[in-house]
Amino acid sequence: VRTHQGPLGQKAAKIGVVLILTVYAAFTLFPVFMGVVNSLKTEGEILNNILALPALPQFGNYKVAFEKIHFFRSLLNTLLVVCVGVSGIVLFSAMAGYKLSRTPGRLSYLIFGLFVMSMLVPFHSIMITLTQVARTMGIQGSL
Amino acid sequence: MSKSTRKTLMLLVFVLPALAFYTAFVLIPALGGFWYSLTDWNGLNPSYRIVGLANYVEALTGDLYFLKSLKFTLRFVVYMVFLQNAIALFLAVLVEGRKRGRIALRTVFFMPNMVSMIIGGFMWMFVFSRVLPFLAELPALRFLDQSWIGDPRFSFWAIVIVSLWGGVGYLMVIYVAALQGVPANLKEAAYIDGANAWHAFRHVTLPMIFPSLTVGVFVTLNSSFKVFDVVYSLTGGGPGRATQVVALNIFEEAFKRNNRYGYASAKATILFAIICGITLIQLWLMKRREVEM
Repeated sequence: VRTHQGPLGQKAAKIGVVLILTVYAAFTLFPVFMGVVNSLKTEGEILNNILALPALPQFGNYKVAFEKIHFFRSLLNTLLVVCVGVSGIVLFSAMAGYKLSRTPGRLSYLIFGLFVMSMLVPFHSIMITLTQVARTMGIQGSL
Repeated sequence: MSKSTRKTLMLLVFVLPALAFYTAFVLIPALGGFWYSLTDWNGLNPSYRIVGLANYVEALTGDLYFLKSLKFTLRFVVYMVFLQNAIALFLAVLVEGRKRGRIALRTVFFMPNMVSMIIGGFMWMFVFSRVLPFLAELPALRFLDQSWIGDPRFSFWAIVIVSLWGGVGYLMVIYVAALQGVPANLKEAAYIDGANAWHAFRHVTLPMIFPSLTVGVFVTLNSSFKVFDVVYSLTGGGPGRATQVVALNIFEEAFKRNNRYGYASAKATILFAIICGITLIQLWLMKRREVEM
């Protein structure tokens, strides 16, 4: 930020900027930091002092979580969804976007509007019928 | 084949794959949802009656909880649209003004977007319910000793804080990109003409990035009206139904309480109509003010 207040004012402004950015960065990182730190502690340690670093990092919590959510199985599912989803989205939307932007006219405008409108549809107005569509197409529970 | 028909055909060929998926998974379900909103279908019974607009009339006149959730959501939207855009723009200007650490700061601020908001909500739940009471034992931080989740006065702000935490970074990236597109010589010219930093921002930078502001307000309006996961993981709509947003009200109507799918669809359609109306007005108003370069 450029100011016209002489060197002292400029210095103060700079410190102010750094201070604001640091506070916001701390706010952003705080819950993540808390999550990570406390995941390495025992329940007793958490009750004792929630902010303190773990005396001796222990990974028991991770072991339990891994087993409880069948981590590798769900990771595989997620990977599959991501791979198929992202490649489909990139390919098809690039194709559609390319031609839509290069073709003037009413039809192109109409299709564009149709796609944009989907951003406004709340998930809740499609969720009930979406499960039905999936069922008729035979893809429900197929992952 | 004439040139224009071929052009149309090419357009359709390129658009078709996207359009097919879009039709199957958005358009048909959306139209189906609208159809069910005119019926008394309960999701299980194969037969249902068409009841016309009765669901809509009931939602808008007789359903106190729905109207309350609508009011709560509107209040949330007003605060979010203003705060999220103001903070994001402010941070973007500060980050762009720095020579060092720009990329690191941008990464940190954007990071919450990489966490799903359900997880984010649970992490904040932990902060609100366990960390803040612990911190409040220090005399200087006594003010943190509130029941952030249990008292609706504070849980509203808890939801706002968590939503800001999750949403500001994304908008900030949009605004950073816009700020980078402002030609430096325009600002320099303003400085030579005797403008101070605020004047240059207000009269050069702001008009130049106004199109991004349109996008930013559009995104926040849209996402705040549909807010669900933060509230679901943080307060679950409680205490009682004090922090219930519209999306949560619809979800409960369909899956938790009475399985009234038809009625829930009517409420979802009302929500869609509200979002559509307000964003169209917003786009129209803000597009008019954008300056041509």
